[in-house]
Amino acid sequence: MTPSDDARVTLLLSLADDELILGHRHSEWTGWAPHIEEDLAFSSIAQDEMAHARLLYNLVGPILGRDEDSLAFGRQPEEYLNALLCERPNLDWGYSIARQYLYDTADAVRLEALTSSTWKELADLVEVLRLEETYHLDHARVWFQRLAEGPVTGRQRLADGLSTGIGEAVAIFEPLPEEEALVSDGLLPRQNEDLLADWLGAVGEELERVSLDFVLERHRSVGEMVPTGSGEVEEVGQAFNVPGLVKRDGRWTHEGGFAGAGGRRGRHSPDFQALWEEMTGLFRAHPGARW
Amino acid sequence: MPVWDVFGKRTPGDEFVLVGGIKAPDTEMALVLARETHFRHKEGVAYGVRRRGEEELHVGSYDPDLIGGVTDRSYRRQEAYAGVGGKLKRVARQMAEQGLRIDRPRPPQHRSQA
Repeated sequence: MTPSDDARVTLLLSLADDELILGHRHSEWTGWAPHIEEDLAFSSIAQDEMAHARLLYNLVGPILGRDEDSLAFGRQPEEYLNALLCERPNLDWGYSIARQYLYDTADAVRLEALTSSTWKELADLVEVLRLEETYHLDHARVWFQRLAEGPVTGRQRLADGLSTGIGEAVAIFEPLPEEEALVSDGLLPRQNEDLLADWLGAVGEELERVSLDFVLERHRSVGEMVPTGSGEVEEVGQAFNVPGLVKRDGRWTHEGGFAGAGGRRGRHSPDFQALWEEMTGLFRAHPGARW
Repeated sequence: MPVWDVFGKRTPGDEFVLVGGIKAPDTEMALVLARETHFRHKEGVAYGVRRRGEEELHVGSYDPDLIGGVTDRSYRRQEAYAGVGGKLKRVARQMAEQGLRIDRPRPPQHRSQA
């Protein structure tokens, strides 16, 4: 089964849009992070994520006949395929670090899988991205450990952030349209369901080590999705649900499947509209401008 | 919060030299923050931190090629004012061809010393 160009585009845009939108949220900390050193570090990570999105847009651009700016800023809200987790507002530092930890651990699992993609340009690019993502993961883990093992207020905020984010972090692995074809052709070397199992097992162990695994049982459900823009997304007739998280034979795993449609099918939370308007405002106000 | 002196090597043959300082609660966090605050634009090939008042230098473990990133970071360079003079002359010439001219006076020379 050969995947269509649309399937390739979906695979790349889901990766790229995650990086762009999370990078945009990270950048909102510039000038507001807890201290000046962290302000620089988090801003730099934000720029890295946007640079990664740019490289991925340049890979998908020739298929669509569009340049990187047009892909990053020139699409309608329902054409963005980022996971819901990436578009949520920053809330507090506890949530932002929890989200960075959840996202970058999930990203590491999927990037490792993509290094053996039969799409050679993608596999080569992913090798480069992983070198920089290693640093992001170091940053997330250093903060994660200090908040988890530190004074009670910081630990509670981290726990609240994890509870808020973990359901939507699972949805990073929402199956892609035409995923079967992508897997059978080797473009996506493993199913998202397998990647989710790997990620959840590893994160479950890390959370148990710091006695925060209760967030896997007591967490917020994935928020209600709304059709965005023109409503051209697939009508599914039911709310977006992600697999339940349970512990079986000493390992955290998921039960049930994804239902409905989330970010990978262009369905976003109400938070996305405001982000999109701000992020694309300049581009939309001056069509075709160069600077 | 403890203060850490940040050291770096510009080339592999250099000795570590002091390049700045940061605040961080411990060595691991100091190394993570030092890398991004002082070496994110490829300022060197090695870096380390030393808690002020102590002797031991803790050296970052990243490969020299990874310090400062591996992707194109030219977009991070501040070049907002590069080429402004040339652009002004070009625009003035284009306006002159249309019979127009910029008649707003230029700021006085050495105005900061006035």
